Amino acid sequence: MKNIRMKVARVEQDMTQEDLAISVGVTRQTISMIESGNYNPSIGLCIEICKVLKRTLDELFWEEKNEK
Amino acid sequence: MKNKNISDERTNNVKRKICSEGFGLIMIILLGSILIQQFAYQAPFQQYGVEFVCFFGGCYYLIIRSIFLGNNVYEVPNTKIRKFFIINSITSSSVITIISVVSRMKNDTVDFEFIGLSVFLFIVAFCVTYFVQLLIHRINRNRQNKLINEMNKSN
Repeated sequence: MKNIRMKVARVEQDMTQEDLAISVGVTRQTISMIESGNYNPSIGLCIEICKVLKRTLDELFWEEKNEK
Repeated sequence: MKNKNISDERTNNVKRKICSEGFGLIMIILLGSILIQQFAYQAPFQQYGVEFVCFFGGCYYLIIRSIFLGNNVYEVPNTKIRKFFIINSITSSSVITIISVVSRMKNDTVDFEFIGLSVFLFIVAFCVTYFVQLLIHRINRNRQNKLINEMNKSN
């Protein structure tokens, strides 16, 4: 499932995928794959992304029933 | 950028997967090499000894490390484990017997002794395979119970 909320949060922070990738210490492909729903990040990486994007885990990664 | 030095977990996972696939590939090639040299070329043990040691060393490493970490060596539910061991043992002992029969047929004549020896070999191979699997399973389960007890104590 695509992670639109993460993409929106990133754009709101005025960051590119590359910027976010450098901030959390991963490659740009990893960020791209998380946003497109092709990779499930570990909880550690989720927390790092949340800290950089100034969001909570729920706001970025919690799946609502109607989203599945 | 305090996290700049964190290694990319996805890349690491992909690397581990590639290494794991490579290991599987090497083990298959080693086994093939051992069997071809032993049975097709009738080579002496000294010729394929290194491959033999590498292959079985790799196998023992996997089993011992899995047991030590408390992972299941056999990914089969406990209710079906005996059936799994029996099927595994029949398959292994059949392969061992067939290889032995094929290699002996070149030199020996097929008589009562030949058949008797083959049946005996099948039974011995079946028993050895079955009990070795059972032993590994017991050791694995004991280790898992020990780890669970340690976790309970620390709780």
